[in-house]
Amino acid sequence: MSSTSTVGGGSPGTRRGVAGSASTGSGGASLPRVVRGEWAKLATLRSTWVLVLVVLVLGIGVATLSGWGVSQALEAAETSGQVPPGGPPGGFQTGPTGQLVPILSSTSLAALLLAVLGGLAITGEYATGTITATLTAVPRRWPVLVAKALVLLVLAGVVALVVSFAALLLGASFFPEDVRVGLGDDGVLGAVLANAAGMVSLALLGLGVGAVLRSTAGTITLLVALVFVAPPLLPVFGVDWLTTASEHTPVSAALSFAQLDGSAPYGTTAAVLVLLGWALVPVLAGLLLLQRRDA
Amino acid sequence: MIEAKGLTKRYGAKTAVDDLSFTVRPGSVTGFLGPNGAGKSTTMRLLLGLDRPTSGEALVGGKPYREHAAPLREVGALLEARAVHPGRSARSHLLGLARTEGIPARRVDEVLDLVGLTGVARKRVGGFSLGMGQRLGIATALLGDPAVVMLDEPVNGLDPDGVLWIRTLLRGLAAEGRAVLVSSHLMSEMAQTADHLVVVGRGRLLADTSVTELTARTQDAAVTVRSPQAARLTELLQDVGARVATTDDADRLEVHDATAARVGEVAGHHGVVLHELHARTSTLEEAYMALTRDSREYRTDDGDEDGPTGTAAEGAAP
Repeated sequence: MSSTSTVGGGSPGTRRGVAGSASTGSGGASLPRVVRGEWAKLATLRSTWVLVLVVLVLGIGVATLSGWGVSQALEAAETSGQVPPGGPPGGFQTGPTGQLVPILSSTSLAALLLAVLGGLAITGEYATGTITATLTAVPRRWPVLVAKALVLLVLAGVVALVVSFAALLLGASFFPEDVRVGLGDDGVLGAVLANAAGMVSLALLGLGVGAVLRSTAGTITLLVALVFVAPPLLPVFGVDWLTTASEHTPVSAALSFAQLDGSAPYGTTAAVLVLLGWALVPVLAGLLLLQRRDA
Repeated sequence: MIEAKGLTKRYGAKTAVDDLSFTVRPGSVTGFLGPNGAGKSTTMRLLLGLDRPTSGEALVGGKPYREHAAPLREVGALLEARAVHPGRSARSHLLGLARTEGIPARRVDEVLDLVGLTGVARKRVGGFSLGMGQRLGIATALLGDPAVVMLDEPVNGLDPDGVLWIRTLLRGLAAEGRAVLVSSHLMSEMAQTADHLVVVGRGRLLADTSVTELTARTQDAAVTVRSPQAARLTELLQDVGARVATTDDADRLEVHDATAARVGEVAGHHGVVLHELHARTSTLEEAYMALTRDSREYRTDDGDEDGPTGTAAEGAAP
């Protein structure tokens, strides 16, 4: 009510002239400025920080539980004499792979949520109509999506690194000291960094899919299918190319770095390319469509 | 300065904007009038480069909007009220936009104050009323202190106080030398605000004229006169060159080509008793209704989804 009364007598007298207004600063829209704007937009939404918190708790929590579970199972198997020292029978491996794979793969739910965060960064604008204001402010359009990608890269990057390192350190802490993997072990640092890279790749994938589909529901559905449904489902059919496809999902590619026992379906170069592809191709498609479509 | 040159936008088989050309000049308020569904919003989207025209050209300040280095300083626009993320505060929403052009936070507070939202600046927009949403939209439009201001139905959802405020604001913006384009489906609103009118219907230009011209052009200079001596008066008036039409009421005449004063003089000179004499001038509203009748009727008959709102526009007629 108070706003109404303030405005009743309001006059445009406080406005400056058209040219050279002292209060609006100077210069035009540049990419760094659009990045600042996009950061302001992302950071001022409560949903962003709720999602970040959930990603941290869930990512680290599930990985920790997973590490504990595997170590318990391993201990039980050893006491019952099912596992000869160093051997893989019984489904358990005491080696680095046996710890890294279950622990790091437990961060995939957190990775999916980062992807949702990426998707919301753009579908939220379409859902609420903010996109009109955004594209009116930046009519060249492409800087908007590039800025969103850069902001997301940094935010998701920090979160993914925290989750990945904490997951490994906490998850592995339950294993006996003599077999416990550490960051100093061969390939372990790489596996942890690759896991973080996989999470960031998914965040960018979410942004790209969001930019293409422009719908929150569609984007989340597609992301869930890609992260959770496709990897276990595709090999079921026993068709070679479907199995190959399932090995090339973002999560599988990131996990291939953790398969230090040589069970990875492809090498590190291929894995890096797969991750880059998932991160970049949808964003590029989104850029192309953003330039061409009516807003 | 806004220039639309042969703007056309088709969505599939439907033509939303059809070869529309008009100019919005600085220093005046141009009312953009037409029934709902006439293509006003689409035209504004085309001017802002949000939608691409099928053909034609939209220039703002001499070039396509997207070619401006500092677009917010060139054009301030309010397209849809409440097109703001409900989870963000009014201030954050404005800051996010301001940052893209290096507009300082000081200016954000300035426009919030200007539209009277300072008190709720840090509240989430989700809780805003329609009127508050409109005010935030106007704050957004004014953020870059733009040379051109474009508002789509800005008075929707505002209380009378707010409507008056908008009117004053628009006049003030024009007085400062800005080009102001305001759309509305209500002539009554525009008559009090606009200097110039661009009237559209079914995407086509129906009139591009000043308010005074439109009034003059469509003014029906009929004089209504009631007299117990109607037959005698008819003869006398015809003698001085007026056209006289009878009405349902035998005592009542409708006189054309003569002013009320002339009718009175003739009657007085010949001692004819008059019971009523008045000049009937059509209002702008009537002029507008006449202009847009075809496009509205088409929409209603067509069972178009805009039908109900078209009817609402008609309901505003006297």
